[in-house]
Amino acid sequence: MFSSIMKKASPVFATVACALATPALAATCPADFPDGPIALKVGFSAGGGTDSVARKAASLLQQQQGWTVYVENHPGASGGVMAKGLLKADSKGLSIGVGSTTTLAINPYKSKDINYTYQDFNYMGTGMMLNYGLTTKSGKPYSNLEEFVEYARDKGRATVSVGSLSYEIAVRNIAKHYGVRLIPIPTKGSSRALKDALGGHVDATVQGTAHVSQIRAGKMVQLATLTSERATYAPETKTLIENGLDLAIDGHIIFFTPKHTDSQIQTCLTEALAEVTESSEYTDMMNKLQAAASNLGAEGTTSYLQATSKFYQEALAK
Amino acid sequence: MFDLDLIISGLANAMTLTNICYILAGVVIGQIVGATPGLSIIMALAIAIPITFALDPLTAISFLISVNKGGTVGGAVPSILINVPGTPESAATALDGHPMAKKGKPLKALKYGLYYSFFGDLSSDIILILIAAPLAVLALQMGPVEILALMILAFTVISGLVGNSMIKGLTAAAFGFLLASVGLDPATASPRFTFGMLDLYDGLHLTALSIGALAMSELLHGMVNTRRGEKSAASIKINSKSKEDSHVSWAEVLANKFVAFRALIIGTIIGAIPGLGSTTAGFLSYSITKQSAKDPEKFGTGDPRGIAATETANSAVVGANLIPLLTLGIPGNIAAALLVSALMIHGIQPGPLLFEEQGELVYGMFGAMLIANFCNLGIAQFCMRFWAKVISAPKTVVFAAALLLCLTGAYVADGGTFAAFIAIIMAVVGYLMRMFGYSIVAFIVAFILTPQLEESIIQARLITDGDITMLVYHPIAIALLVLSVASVVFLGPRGNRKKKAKNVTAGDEKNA
Amino acid sequence: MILKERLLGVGGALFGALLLLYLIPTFVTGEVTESGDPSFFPRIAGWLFLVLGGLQILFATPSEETLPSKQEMGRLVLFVGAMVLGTSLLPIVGFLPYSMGLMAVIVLMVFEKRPHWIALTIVGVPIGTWLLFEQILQRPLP
Repeated sequence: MFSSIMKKASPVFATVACALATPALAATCPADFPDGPIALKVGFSAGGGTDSVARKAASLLQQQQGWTVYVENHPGASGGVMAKGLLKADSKGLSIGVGSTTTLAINPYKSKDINYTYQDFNYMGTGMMLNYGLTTKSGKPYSNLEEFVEYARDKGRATVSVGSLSYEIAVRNIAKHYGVRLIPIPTKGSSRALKDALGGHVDATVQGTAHVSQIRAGKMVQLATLTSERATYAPETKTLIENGLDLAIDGHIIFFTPKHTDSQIQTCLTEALAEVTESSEYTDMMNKLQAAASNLGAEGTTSYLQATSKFYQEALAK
Repeated sequence: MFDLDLIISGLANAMTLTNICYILAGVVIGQIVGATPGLSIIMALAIAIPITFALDPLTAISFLISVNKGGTVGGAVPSILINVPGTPESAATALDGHPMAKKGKPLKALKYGLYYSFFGDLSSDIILILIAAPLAVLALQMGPVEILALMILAFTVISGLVGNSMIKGLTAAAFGFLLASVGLDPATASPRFTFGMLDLYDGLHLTALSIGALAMSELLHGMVNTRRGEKSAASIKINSKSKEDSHVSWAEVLANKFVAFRALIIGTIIGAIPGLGSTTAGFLSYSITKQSAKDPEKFGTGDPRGIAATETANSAVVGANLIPLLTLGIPGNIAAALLVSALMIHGIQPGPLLFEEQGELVYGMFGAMLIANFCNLGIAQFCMRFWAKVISAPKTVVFAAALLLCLTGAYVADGGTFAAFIAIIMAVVGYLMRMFGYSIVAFIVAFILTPQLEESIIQARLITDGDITMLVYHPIAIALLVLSVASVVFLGPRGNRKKKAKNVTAGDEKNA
Repeated sequence: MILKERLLGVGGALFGALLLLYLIPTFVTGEVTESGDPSFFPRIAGWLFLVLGGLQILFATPSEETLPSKQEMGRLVLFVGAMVLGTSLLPIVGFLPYSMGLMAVIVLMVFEKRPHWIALTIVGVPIGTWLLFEQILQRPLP
């Protein structure tokens, strides 16, 4: 059995939502789909960014399509436990995985106990692009990447708190490129990494979402943007590519089903997700969180994962 | 900096009828879930979040906070009545709460627990409202090096709880170290003792482990020891005729005011620092109270000071946990992380700008927290009679039902039958540990504290570049280390001298 | 009962040795990097078992705990066996048959004879638990 913390939206709320929702049903779905409630299986515990996005998507899918959708959390091994279990689901498309770039592009190359790769799944699309940035507390003697690298060179070393392996890889790549000693400090979860940076215990930190409100409040400075394009909340900060480093870390929240899912259902789910991410309620939430509501679509996600997997496979082989 | 209009309108928002109804509902749900062995507050919160989608943000947050507060009060109930702690933090409450209940004073023990819990929660909420900002600054001062020193202090103080034999207590702690190392190691993310099972990658789940070792082992013990012909009576005799045994007077509550006040400070500080949690606070407070008492041998026999020390401290954590969340945007524990999720679904990002951008909401939330505390007190008074009724059923029924709830709870909380098996294995381990006199408390506390300790060691080593002289730049860490030496020197021997001969500790053994 | 205490010490020390010599080298395979040594904490645990086991052999003091009778051990094995068997069958048979069966075994083994309490435990408790999780808490059970 494959199960953990499970939840359905309350039936009362579901009925109310169905009654209020205008039946949009733009997605073309087989007549008998879905034949049962749909589970969004989140590969992380409740409370994180992935979980929040999945819950929002679940409530919108429910409103827009009139399906019963509930969220289950299957944390463990950065989504690995969930993805491995998802492969056992049948072809009816009632189990949808919600994971991150780490789940699909890093896990398979990190651990020998993970027996899947990104090619074992179909992709409905993505829900949110994370704002990866190298940031630090304001008031430090450096405010961009060059100055930070100089600081590290003068001091002999600089510490960077990282909440996950992909951030650690990014830090090691930057250190290697400039030939300085940057020490990644492994931390359980990004929020604790953020706390150590705000307290001045480390020289910088890599963050995905939580630093945005700190930057808006003037408490932190973005040293470098790690995504391929500049971030809207820090338009002055250069990306790594602009800094002359051929490295971009794009992180996405990804919706996927097992490869053997019925192809008509796959199309249906992809369209349903697109409807969610295009809705104004969804983009409003993303705007308020200063995040990009980007949906790469089915093909976009696949080619993105192909490239990212290749990158991490090489990075981890060393 | 205080905008009075904002505060008043915020508080007024909290007072609406809808809001108060949701607060009441939240408290009731929380208390029931907390009091049911096998169900945890975290699970209750996770279930409650979807219900809040349809509510406005303030009502949603009020509801969730009420569930959390109700759960804290409810958690003490099974610990006190049947010595079956549903959550690790209430294991410390069982140490004195259950002996008191066994003496025929279950209602008195429950009331002690409730009053001190109410005091701890309310006071820490007031501290949060008045001085969150300075406390947050303090929390930020606690970097990896300081946390490491704090963990060392916690270990030295809590080692006073190892039980009758120091050697066996430390062996139990070593077992906690070992089981805590299962999963991916924090430094290099390589697997340890996972035997190829992905389910073990994140380690043994605390919920399944504590349900098994704390609650189910006690139930097994009770069931195995049932004898044929023994007319299965209620598990606890309730002597409700005597007013003395079922009521707690003001004088009795005030008798422990220093204990409760110290517990409040411990709980608030531990709560304000992200990542430590209410179990640490409860055991730390209990341990300090016991070791600094003139008569430590009375603890564990139903001493109200034991209940005061734990319930005040672990409830104070509930309010204080919101300090880093509201001021810095950093969730202090899983319950706070779930609140972040709920806020984000409503498009609100907690962070340093929260007071500025959502002042009305924050003050509304403060109002709701205060209301929830009083609802908690009132409803618990009422529920108490109900629990006393439930517990008056024959223990055959109570134990069987509790066992099923534990197994189902482990199944639902963490990963299906795998978690249920972990709970069963831990139940057997707990049973054997009890049989051979190894302290389950020492084992659980070591299991809970070790991951934080290990992470801090790794981080502190990297930050100081392995250079111990760097400590001079960490005065707080030095102060904490001095405190832990002091606690060994002053608390340890004094306690030993007063202990009975059977309480053999390391100090005595050198002479033996 | 000092012999029992010494035997516990022997057991602890042997487990410590097993950890240090076999379990840790085999199952903690991560390499030592500049971030740290993954086997550091397991090895602390191993050494603690070994040293404390040794101390226990040398300085054992009589304890109050009495060993359970053969009958009690038998009952323990039966209870645990029932739980393990039931839980392995849980995904196949579903929650209600599982819990009713388990409750029946337990009621039988704790010598409950009053029919109304037996009925309550075997029928009422499983249905109540099912309602609680499935209906009130909305968590699907098998």
